[in-house]
Amino acid sequence: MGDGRGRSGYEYAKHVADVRIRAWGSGLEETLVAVTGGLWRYVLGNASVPITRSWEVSARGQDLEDALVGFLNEQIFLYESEGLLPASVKDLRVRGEHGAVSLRALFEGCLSNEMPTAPERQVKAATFHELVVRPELIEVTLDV
Amino acid sequence: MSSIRPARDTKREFHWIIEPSGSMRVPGVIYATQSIIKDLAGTKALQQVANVACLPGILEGSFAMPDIHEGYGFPIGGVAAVPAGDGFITPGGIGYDINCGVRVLLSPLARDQVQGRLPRLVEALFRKIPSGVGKEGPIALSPDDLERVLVDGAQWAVGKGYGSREDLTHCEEGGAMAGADPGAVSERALRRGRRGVGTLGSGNHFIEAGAVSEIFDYEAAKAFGLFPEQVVFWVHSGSRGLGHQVCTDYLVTMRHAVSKYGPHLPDRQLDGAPLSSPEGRKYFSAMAAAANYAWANRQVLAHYVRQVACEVFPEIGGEENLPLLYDVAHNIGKLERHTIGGREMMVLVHRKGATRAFPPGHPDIPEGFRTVGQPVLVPGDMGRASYILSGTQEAMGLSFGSACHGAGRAKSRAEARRDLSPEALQGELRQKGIHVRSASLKGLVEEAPSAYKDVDEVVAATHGAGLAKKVAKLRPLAVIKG
Repeated sequence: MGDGRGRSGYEYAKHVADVRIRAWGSGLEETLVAVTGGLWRYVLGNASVPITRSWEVSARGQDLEDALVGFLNEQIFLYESEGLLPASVKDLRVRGEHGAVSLRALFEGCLSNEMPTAPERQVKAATFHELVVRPELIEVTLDV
Repeated sequence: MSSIRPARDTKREFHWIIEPSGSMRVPGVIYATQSIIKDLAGTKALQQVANVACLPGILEGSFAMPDIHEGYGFPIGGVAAVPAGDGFITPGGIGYDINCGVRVLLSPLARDQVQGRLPRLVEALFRKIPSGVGKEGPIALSPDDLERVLVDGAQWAVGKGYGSREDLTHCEEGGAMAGADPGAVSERALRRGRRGVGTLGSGNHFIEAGAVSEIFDYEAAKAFGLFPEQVVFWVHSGSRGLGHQVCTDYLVTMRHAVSKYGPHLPDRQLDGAPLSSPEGRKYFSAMAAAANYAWANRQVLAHYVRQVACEVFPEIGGEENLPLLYDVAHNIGKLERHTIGGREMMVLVHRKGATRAFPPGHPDIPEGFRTVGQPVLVPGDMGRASYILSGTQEAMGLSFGSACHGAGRAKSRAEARRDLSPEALQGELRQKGIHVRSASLKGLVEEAPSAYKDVDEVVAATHGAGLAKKVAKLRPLAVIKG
């Protein structure tokens, strides 16, 4: 889920109160992985996450915007309720079916009590505010 | 959006207008100094004021308080009222941290009595109060208790021995908002709420000991129980993960509802539904339940502060000698009676980063404050100052009885980190005699005084615009940050 300015990556755009992630990639799946990286880099800082388990995250919405915000919020929910902290995301799939869009991915990582250091910051939620979702570019504002 | 201009029809220095254009139904009205307006350039805050003006049913104006800054959906400092029936309720006008708010406990001590023991106070508060990311509290709520928290709010906490019944009369809504329905709160939100009561959280949440440095209105100060040099304790927190999940859940609901009931809104974060619709009523019930959770949380946190203060300063003589001045909500939707065009009506007031500021004589404020108005608690930043103001009659006509909720951010978190190291910040605060502990140094520097507007200017605009009156200024002495 690395950042950087290569083919895919993310950066934090200016927002006075909250955090806006700008992520890019060569296609939708890659860009979705990049924005996920931006979320967890904000929470964890530079801490590396050991891999002790894997889990699936899925979300569904009436369009891609809904599905993306749901996907990020599902990750936040799983961290807050189960302590699941991701190190990597793979096999991300986007599917359009019956007028809805679903996202599904496999995450690897650990429980928060298995981390050597505490997460640095809290994210309350991913928002719909000025959401941009295109195959090569995603911009999303997090309430922090 | 048309450009912002000073109000023509008033001599007021702090009154700015965005004329309706496009799908705006009312003007944008911003109360601020010229320099606050200038500093908003390059941010989305004014556009957000204009976006809010498009809400179906919005009455009078899309208002912004002097601590206005860029948010999501609403600007922070935004106030919008709609008719209680068919007006739109929007989760984006209340926010994720439902009933984020602040309370102040009064002490009988003066600044010079506590000075030498502040390091001990900070350490003891930091040990006692779970703070920082993901910290769970010692209270594991059973499903029954959680349901009672959602209905009874601070009353639940008092019933469990956290504080006294007198505290309840000094909370907005008596610490428990009517209309809360635990059945409207999802299982996911309940899961996030089981261990959150009695936790501070992170970000801008804090506990602070401060001292009164200046009194502007002696009559109001006396009614509030304030005296020069007095030490007080501030508690700033909200509804934690439970409130965040309620907002997340209902934005999905409103996404579907908005296409059923209303026109396209300029920001999806403003999606909502008529308050009288099934979706609107259900969200209101869930929001009220989350608000009650926040009141229970601040009640428990205040209990911990009282315990610690009495340990470190035994001359206080007991927790009953640390009475609650007041508890205000600053992210909330409230049903209130207001007079519009000479007609009294029930409205829903969204306050997103704004404090209710009811005037003298208002029946919803405690009897002891009816001669002077509601205490309006305005925490500034951890290095400069905070204020206690009083509500005014004028504010009822200017802003649906609302005032600023703080200083308001001026810099992004990244800018704050870039401009100052944690070590430099700690040194700067130490030089001022302010003792600080935080769960995260990165988090601490993001909350540096320089990241905020100058609260003196924000309060001068609030006072000058007539939204609330200055009563007392306070200086920070010791702070724990989440």
